[in-house]
Formats: sequence, C-alpha cells, structure tokens
Amino acid sequence: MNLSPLIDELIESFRCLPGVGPKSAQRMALQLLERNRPGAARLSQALDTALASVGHCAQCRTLTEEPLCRVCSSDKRDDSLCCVVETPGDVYAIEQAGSYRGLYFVLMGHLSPIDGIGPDELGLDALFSRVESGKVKELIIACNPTIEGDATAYYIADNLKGQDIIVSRIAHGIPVGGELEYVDGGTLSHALAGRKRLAGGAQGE
Amino acid sequence: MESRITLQPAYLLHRIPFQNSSLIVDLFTRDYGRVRAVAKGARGAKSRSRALLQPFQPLLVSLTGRSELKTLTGVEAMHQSLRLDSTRLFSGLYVNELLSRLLPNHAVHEALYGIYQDTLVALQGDSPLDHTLRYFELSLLAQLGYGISFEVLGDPPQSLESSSYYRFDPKQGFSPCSACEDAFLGAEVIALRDGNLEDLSGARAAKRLLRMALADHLGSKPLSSRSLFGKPRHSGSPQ
Repeated sequence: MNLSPLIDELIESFRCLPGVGPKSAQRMALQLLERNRPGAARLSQALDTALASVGHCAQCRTLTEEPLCRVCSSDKRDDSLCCVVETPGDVYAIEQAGSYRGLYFVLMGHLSPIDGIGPDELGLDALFSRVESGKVKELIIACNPTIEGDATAYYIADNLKGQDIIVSRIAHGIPVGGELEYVDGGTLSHALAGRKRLAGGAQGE
Repeated sequence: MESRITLQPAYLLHRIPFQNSSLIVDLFTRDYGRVRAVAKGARGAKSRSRALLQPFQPLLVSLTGRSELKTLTGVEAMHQSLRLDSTRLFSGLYVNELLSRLLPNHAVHEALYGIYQDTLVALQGDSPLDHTLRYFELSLLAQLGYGISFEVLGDPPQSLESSSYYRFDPKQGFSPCSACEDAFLGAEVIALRDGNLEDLSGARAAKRLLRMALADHLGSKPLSSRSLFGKPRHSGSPQ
C-alpha cells in the first residue's frame, strides 16, 4: 500500500528510534500529522537545531552544544575527581543519582578487541593526557561490569601505574531492595569479595 | 545437526547487540562446535541471562532451530565464572579473538573445546603466560588442520638439527639457511616442538614463529587484542 510517499518516508524515519516497529512508527506519524501539528513543528525544529549544534565537550567528550559542557565549566565541581564512563547516558544516570560532585570523562564505548576496538580506536590517549595535566587526584572507573568493561578498567589502571594518582573502580553488588536469593552467582561473589567492614579489627573505617 | 539441543556445555566467544533488547551470541559448544544463536530479550532490564552471557563463563545452553542461526531457549551456569585479571584477561580476549577469527561454524571440535577450557583454567591460575598461549596457538593450528610440521623440507624430510639455522615459510615449512635475523635456530624450534619454553630466547622465537604461522590464516586484518599488550605509555611502570 503506497498512499503517500511523504507519509511513508515519515513513518520509515521514525523507525530509526529504538524499540519502534512499523506499527508504532505509523501511529506516531499519523498522530503528529492528524492531531498535533504544532508539536510536530517543535519536534522538527528541535531535531534540526540539536543536530546542527550538539557536539562533544572538549574536556570530557560528553554531548553538548557548548565548547565545554556545563559540568566541566562549573566552578562548584571538584576537579580532583574524574569519573570514567562508557556513554553520555551513564553521565545522566550518575547526575540523576545526585551524589557525585566531580568531573567526568566519557569513553564513548569500551575496549572490545573482537570488534576491532582497541585503545587507539577508543582514544584513550585523551584520557591519559588529561591525567598528566595534573589536576586529577582520583580516577573513578565506572565502566559496565562486563568482560569488556573489566578489560577497559584494567587497561587504564595498568597504564597509570607508577603515576601519582588513585585509580579506583565502582563496586559491584546487590541492588538496593534486592533479595540475595534471586541475585545471580557472579554478582553475589563480587559482592562478597568487595565486602565492607562495619566493626572490629585494629583499624575501622 | 539436530533441531533441538539441550543443556550443551558451551562458552560464549562474542556477543553482538541485536534489535532493541536482544543479542546475537557466538557460542563454542562442546559437541557442535561454533554455533550462532539469537538470545531474545537478553539485554532487557529484567533479563536473567544477561549476567551469564559473558565470555569465560562455563555455560549449559539449550538451542532450537533448523537454520544456521539458532534460537537460545535456555542458559544456565555450569560452574562459577573464570576470573581473569589484567594481562590474563587480555590474554583471554586474545584467545577468544583467535577462535572467532579461525574457527568455522558448525564444525565439531571436541578436542579443541577441551584445550580451550584448559587454557582458560591455566590463565586463571599462575602458570607462565607464554607457555599457555604458545601451547594454545600450536594446538589451535593443529586442530584446525594447519599444524606446523617440525621437519626440514626435502625428499625424504630430514629431522631438525639443534645447531643449524632454518627459514620458516608458513605454507611450506622449514628449510635450511644461513644464520640471519629471520632465521630460527634448530634448538629453538625443537624446544617449541617439545613444549620447552623456559628459556627466554626460545620463548621469543616461538612467539615469532607462531605469529608467522597464524598470520597466514588470519589474513590482512590485524588482531586488535594484541594492542592491549603494548608497552605501558609511562615509564616507571614495571611489566
């Protein structure tokens, strides 16, 4: 059925969104054209301007339309802390959690040799030169707890050995409100290995 | 190959995101060799297989389907996941990259499965890294039918002399030559054949020889896991 090439093109364009199949794409396209033309105009304009002006922050490489993103240019952030994450989505997640006051470095992926992504493809040199510039005192690696994330973390840590900087990795463990019985074995053994002392021993925390 | 496989021992070699919440997984199974399958919903927030579908985790997988691409219907952990740290993790990734580049789909390689498993266990322990990797490379070539023939070309083939020098051609084999940079000392080649890699120059020669032999089958695209082993950028870091 080919009623209108323009509408077909619009439906087809919506399908580039994650989780949108032919049926939802058709609903979205018809909704905008039938009932919400101002909304459609706004969407189209927002897409246009965002595409034209959003690029990467010169310091942390997250997505932003400014040369330096809001976090990097803020004077309320602790610039001795730098959190290494895989994607801009991870920055949003940590910001929404609200407990971190340091800066970020976005890798835009992880080391995955089998996919042909090595240290050069990931541009890890930018991270190392930022560390060399001297302000960062602690690098917190917040890569995903996958084999590729582990490899990325070990690679960064190995390359910063002997430098005057603390390299740490975020803990892996049981989700808040979770039940031990239903947690997978891998997470549970990580959680046990990274346990925290509550009392006792010579020096408490 | 049967259309239904249940609780088959396997390791995951590689996973590729597929559609919104699924994965395409490359599995090395014990009885069916390398098999590709779709793991539906495995990336979803509620997926229970997400933690299991990782490399170096001994699995029991159930698959269905008649076509080349199977559907993963079940996955269970057989044992605890192998824990590899730092260089040993990079070595594990190297072994996986080698397998995924060289292992054909649906060819049964039961012996190689055992060798792969032993290699991972050795990587997890504190055995010398060089030995483990060279032994794996040598066995991989042999199991895939590209085994190195440790004899000197000729009719009839001669055995290697420990004090002579040889040139190695991956397609043909060893031929005598004079001592030069590219040549291999007979003793080093014999040491590799017999699995004696304690001596440092022998280990280096073995690495060079196996690189040449593997390069012939890997084609022009380099192995990217090798870049992980590169020298640390900063001096003062012992490695």
